[in-house]
Amino acid sequence: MNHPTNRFLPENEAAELISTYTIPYPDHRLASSPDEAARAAEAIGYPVVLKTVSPDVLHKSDVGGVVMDLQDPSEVYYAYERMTSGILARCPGATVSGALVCKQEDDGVDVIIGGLRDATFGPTVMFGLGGIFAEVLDDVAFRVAPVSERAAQELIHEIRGWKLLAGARGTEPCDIDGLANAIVSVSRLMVEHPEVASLDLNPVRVLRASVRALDARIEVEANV
Amino acid sequence: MRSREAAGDLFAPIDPEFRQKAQRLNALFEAENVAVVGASNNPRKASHHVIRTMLEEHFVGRILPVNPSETRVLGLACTGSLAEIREQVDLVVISIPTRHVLPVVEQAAARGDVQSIVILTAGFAETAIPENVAMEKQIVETASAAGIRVVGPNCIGVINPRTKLCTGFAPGLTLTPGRIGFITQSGAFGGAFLMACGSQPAPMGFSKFGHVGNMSDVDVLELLLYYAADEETKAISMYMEGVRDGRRFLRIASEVTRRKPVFALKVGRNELGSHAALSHTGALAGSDRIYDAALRQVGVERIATFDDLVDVSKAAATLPQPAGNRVCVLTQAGGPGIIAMDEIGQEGSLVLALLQESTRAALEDLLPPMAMVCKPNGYIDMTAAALEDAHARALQIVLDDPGVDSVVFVTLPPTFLPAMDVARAVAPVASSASKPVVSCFMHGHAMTEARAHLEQHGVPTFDTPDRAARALIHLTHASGCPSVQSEVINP
Repeated sequence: MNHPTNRFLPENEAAELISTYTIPYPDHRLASSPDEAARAAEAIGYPVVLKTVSPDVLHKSDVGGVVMDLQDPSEVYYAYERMTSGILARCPGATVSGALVCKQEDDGVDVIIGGLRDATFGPTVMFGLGGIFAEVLDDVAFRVAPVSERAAQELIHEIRGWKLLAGARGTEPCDIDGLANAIVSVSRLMVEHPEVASLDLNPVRVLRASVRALDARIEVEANV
Repeated sequence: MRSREAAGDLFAPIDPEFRQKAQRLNALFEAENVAVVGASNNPRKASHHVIRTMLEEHFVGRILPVNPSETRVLGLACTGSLAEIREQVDLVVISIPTRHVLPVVEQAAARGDVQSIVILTAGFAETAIPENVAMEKQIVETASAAGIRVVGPNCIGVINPRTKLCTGFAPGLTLTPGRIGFITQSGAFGGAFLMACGSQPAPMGFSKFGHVGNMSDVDVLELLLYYAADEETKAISMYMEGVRDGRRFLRIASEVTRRKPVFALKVGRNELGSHAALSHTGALAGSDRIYDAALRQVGVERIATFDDLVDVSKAAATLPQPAGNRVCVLTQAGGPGIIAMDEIGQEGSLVLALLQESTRAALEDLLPPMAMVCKPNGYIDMTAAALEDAHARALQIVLDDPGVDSVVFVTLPPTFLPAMDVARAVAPVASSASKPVVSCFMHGHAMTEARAHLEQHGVPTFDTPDRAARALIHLTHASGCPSVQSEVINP
């Protein structure tokens, strides 16, 4: 549903919008220089992830706009420098307004929560396993918004891979209630913000007792 | 920023004005004085058959043919124009060339007594030609100003089998009163569905039928709401290509499914189908996966094929709703019984009933020694040695078990056991049960008489065990009953 005049919210604004809907985003700070990035990392604690903030870069990881596993201030400092100059080299003329320093979350099960506007049914949410499962197996399910807590639970159980979340092969079960809450919140956001054309939380990391949206891409209509 | 839509709009109450409008469709379905404009003695004209069907079926009201170039049509006196009819006119059916329709609508409006108009003629908004689109708009405006509801254009309209009102023209229609309300977005599908109903071992009736064509005024949602309140309609079956306002559809459907089961054959399941649907009704296809989710969300049971829609309609028309998802498969024939088991296992939402010890003992007492009782639990193979009495009593025993919510009953009466004897023995047990029994008497012409006997006594039968099982699965889903999870099967 990408419309040529639509724009994407900068990641920090997207993070702020989902936070107002109680969808947890990792602890993060916006930095506009290597120094600021290193200081932010000190405050957040290690490891951290550095993500470029640029209105001209949509697929950050494709242009080296995401650097993970940064363990100390000097790694963060140099990563900021390298990342910014690398993006400017790959995307000449791009505006890079800074970088987001984010707490790096532990490993868990990655899922996708999406929001879209269907031509027939209007605001709709999508849920599926993240990464390779979404792409190769196309294991996703939909609900027209608003979605109740119960419907969100059903949605989670509708995908073939839901057992990965319930703790397959001796792994611990994930925070399914937290995940259901996040789905309900995305559905509310889609209903209450008609200017949001689409929303993509990919991945959302589901851990034993928490849920974090590690990346938030929000497309808004340009004329609102 | 645009204004916010209310968060709960999807399940907000239905607009009371729209609800009242839907209730007033009663005037359409109960019309007594029906003028047919374009009435013809030519059997190659649709209007000829509209009158013919109502005459042959003995329509309880009055048929008033209108055609300036005829004096009598099929033996009825014919008038030159609507204005000349002295009697009251409730409903006007129009079947004349496109460009002549608007003047007739104006005449109908001028009369002051017409409540509804059904326009069979095509060539309006569906052509997307601006002047035709404008003509349709003007027709609706003219009618609305006079308080007249318009069905169509480009439709076969409505049928009420109780009064034998029928504006449709499918061949071989049998207007048998029944309990299924049918809504279709394709006249041809609707006609074929009614033909299939009539071709069952015992003709299957329906309560109301509606094909609203271009939906210039009366639309599918209004019919849905009208059927929901209609006491003759026990369940609703639909053929769907697409809806204009998905959220409005969901709002109405979510209310209707709380009152009675709704089954929908929604086509356009993939790109090929949805492109064909787009060129057919111009319905915006939308994503089929989202349609699928949306239907499930509001409790509309989606049906995949024509045969399945006929089957589930037959099941829903006659059977009680199951109280749960625990099924017992009672078969007299191994292979066919396993086919039913495969279907149930594959789909996965029904579970085999765990029969009580006393039920198991009673069955072992009753059935031939080679019978397989509860292997696995919930599955009984009576074997071909079981005679009609064993069929009937075994069915009664499993129905009496409180752990059983429904029964799939399969038999293949051999040469030494007349199928009619089995049907006579089983019919009273199955028809008096408070739990649904789906029956399959295998197979073909040899079983037609026995199946007809069962169906005449309110026991629906199905061509194959898998179709019987599938009808039960859909019926169970649509009943919204609580379900138990599958338990380990005891060998």
